[in-house]
Amino acid sequence: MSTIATITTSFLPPFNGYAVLVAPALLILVAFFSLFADKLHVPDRAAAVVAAVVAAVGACWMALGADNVILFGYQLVYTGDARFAATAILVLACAWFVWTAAAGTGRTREATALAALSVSGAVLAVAALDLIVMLLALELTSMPAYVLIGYRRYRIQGLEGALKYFLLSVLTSLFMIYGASMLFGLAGSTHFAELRALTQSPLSLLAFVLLIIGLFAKLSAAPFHWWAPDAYAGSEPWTVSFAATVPKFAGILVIVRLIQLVSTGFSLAQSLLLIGAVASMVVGTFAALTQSDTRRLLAYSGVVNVGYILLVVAASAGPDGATYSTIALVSSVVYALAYTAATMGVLLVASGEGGRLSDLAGLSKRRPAAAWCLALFVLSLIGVPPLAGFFGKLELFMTAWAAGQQVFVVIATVVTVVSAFYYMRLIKAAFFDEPERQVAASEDSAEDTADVAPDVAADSAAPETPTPAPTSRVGVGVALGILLAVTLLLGVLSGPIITWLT
Amino acid sequence: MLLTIIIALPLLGVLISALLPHRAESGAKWVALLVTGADFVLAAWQLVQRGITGTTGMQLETSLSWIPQLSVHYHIGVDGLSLPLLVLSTLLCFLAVLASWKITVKPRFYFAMLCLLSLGLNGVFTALDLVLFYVFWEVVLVPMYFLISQWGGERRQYASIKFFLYTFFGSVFMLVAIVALYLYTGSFDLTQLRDLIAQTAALKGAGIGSIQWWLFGAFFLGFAVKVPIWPLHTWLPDAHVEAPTAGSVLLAGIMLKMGTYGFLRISVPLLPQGFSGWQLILGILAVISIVYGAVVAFAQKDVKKLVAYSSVSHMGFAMLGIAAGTAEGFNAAMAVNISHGLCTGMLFLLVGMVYERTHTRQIKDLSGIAAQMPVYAGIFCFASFASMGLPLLSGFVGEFLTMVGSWKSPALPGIITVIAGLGILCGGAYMLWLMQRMIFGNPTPAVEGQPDITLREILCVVPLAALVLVIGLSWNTLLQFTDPFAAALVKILGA
Repeated sequence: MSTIATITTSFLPPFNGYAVLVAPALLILVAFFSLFADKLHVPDRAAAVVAAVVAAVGACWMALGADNVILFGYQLVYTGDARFAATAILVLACAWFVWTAAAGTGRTREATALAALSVSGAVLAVAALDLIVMLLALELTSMPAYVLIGYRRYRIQGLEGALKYFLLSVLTSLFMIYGASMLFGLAGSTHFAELRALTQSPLSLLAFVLLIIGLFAKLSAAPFHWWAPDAYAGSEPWTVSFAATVPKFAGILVIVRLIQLVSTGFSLAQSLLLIGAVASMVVGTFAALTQSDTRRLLAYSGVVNVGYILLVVAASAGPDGATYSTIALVSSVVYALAYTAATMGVLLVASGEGGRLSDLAGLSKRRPAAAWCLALFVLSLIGVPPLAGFFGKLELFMTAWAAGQQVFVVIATVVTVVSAFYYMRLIKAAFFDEPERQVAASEDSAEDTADVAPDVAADSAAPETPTPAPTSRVGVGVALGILLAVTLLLGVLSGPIITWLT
Repeated sequence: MLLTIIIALPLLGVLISALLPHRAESGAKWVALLVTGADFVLAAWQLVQRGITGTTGMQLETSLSWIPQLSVHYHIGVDGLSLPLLVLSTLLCFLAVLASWKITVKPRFYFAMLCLLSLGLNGVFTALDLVLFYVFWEVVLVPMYFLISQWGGERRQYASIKFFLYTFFGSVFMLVAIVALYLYTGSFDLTQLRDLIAQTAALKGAGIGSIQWWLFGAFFLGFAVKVPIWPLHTWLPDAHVEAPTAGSVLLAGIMLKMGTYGFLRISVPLLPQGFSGWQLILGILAVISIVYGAVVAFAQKDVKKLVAYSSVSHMGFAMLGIAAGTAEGFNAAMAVNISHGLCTGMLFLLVGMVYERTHTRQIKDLSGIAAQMPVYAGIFCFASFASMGLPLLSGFVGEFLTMVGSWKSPALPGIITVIAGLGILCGGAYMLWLMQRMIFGNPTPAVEGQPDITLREILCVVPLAALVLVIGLSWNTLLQFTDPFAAALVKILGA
């Protein structure tokens, strides 16, 4: 017995650290399991069930695991903020997998595999402190998302959106790699800590501009946002709910970290970020006002919300940015979670109905509980207390104001008011509009068949699973319940959460 | 602890009525009645106790750390300003439940929303932490939005979204001001902020353009929309007309008071120098509200809209009292708050009763009520007289003190008081004209054969009528609570 104990203790220190990676490693295993689920003769949704369990275990593992884990010579650092972000991503993923297991239609196992890969990338990306690790993890996060957007390959619109997303994203990835290589050339290192010594010079600024362009596109911040509405609207709400949240969460953390660790004192970089923030807020808001499609509306709302976060990113890039680095990180992570949880929630509710606003009509009569969840998610997006979105916004605006961006905070405030108008349209649709047809769900399937590309229609892609498993109401309830718990508790428990994050 | 119970009881009501099984959905109203009734008893008990012992200052305080990193606390308490409003709020919520007894469309949802509204209102009047205050302030918005949009009249969607956006617009600017105050002082605590602000060098400097002036302006947007002050009032007639009876009662009776309460609790005591730069602007806007509300009320054909515009006029008196910056003025504002809540609550309840019977609110279709429903007509006349501000009724207290306060105020020119006096005259005129057209005359077909007021309906208005009489006969029942607060406020302004 004692020998085992000695062996364990002597073995523990290194093991303890690397144990953090159990979560992403298991998710990669899940991805393989999902891909080969055919050979195992298990039901289609079994993969999603396994993935949900793994994500839940991973979230607990991440939340309760050792603090301040430093791996591979500071390339991956799991301190409080990274662990919180990784936990949050796993919780979001868990909700998505549960929903897929409960109500996914068509083949879900490949979607599960793709999502699992993306999540494992995101869990690594949030902890990356090295340019190469960061770029690789970010690619691992976003590449599966392209495929998810075009997941129903017999839908032309989906393919169009996926192609747009893919081409722009690959192009901007090249920008990022180009910028990163310049930084390496200047500093002789890819590690953030050594990049911090860089001073403002034309070349380092160019490198930053390239990196910022790449990240803006990944986050769909204006003026690189235009792929998002088309990509989302072409896809199903179900896949959008993943592609619009998890990769974005990882991207937000990466941009906050990168800018704050590297560009402190780069006044031009700060101006660029502020321009991006204002452009995103204004363009996103006015474009969102007229949308009649839930997915498009949320795509533009995503643009606006990234704009808010860019405000604090800019705050930490200023001359005295170091003062705000902690609070900027905290507020953007909290807000990112509040925003992504609510967005995923709205889209998962819409997944059962259809992608258009009119598909939500009569929801409060058909599924009152889902309608109430939708209302709470939307109110959180608006920023009504005591929901998560309010506390997120409060912390964001406080950081930006403290950093001397009072004018921008006022702009963000006005934008928030206008945003209430288009968000309320979701509530209006769900609670007040009468459904045009008896069964709104049939519309989506009608849309499916109408949009089938002629050359793939014969490919028998659509009728692959003739009898879809019945929707499990309990499962849908659990998925929405997870997101609702985040939305309700994130703000109220701000105290302990900030302690954890710092 | 007691205050926490008063705030949390409605939450229990929300949960129970929302989770009732479908078969037992008619039980929701009993849940709501019980919860709001218990709330009223607890609050009224506290008021009576304070009245007897004569204690002043902040009472029943509870302070728990909520978000320590941002020094946000769960800090609640009541004083002479908030306790009467808390009692009014719990009473009106109770009566609103009673007045909604015949709601059969989605009763669980409806009564859950009423309870949630009650929670928000109780919270607003007890919160002593700015973040907590803001949380409750916004919590009020959501149930009212649903009450108007789900159980409202024909144009309910337009009215409800307009209400939501208007008030949300105001309150986000208030939030900006709260954030700014925190960043200057490092505190959200209303009991400490006054001293901290006085010590902060950056916040010194009076007059137009100073930081205090701007912060006051941001709070002004939040509060003025709620009061509402001309020209930010346009949401009010729409919301009132479309809201169900209980919604109108709570909207006019207590939600408008959140605005004046905000001025008295936050803007004026925390930013006295900013206030001095705003006094004249507030006074002018208040007097415009008084006259505008009264004149527009004349032209209304819909009785509910008439009462709505009269609210704009009456709340103008409260604002004029605040703008005066004198002890009489502050007392007047608090008295108008309570009295207007009682009178307008009564009027909206009475209008709701006649609408339930005749399904019309057009004044021309409602003449001759006195012949058909004599008891109702009597109570309606009483409520109208109270609203006019007849001596010996509660409306007079506020209007009289406003006149005295604004006349004595060094910041306001005398002409403002004179114009406000004309507003009182208009107020008498349109209410008398309304009574003449609606109550007297020959019964119209709509009124013909309608049953008189029922016992339940009488129970709805009697408590309000009794309080109107008590306050009108003995001003001190109310002023003993408000006067110490007003005196303290004047002292702050003088410092």
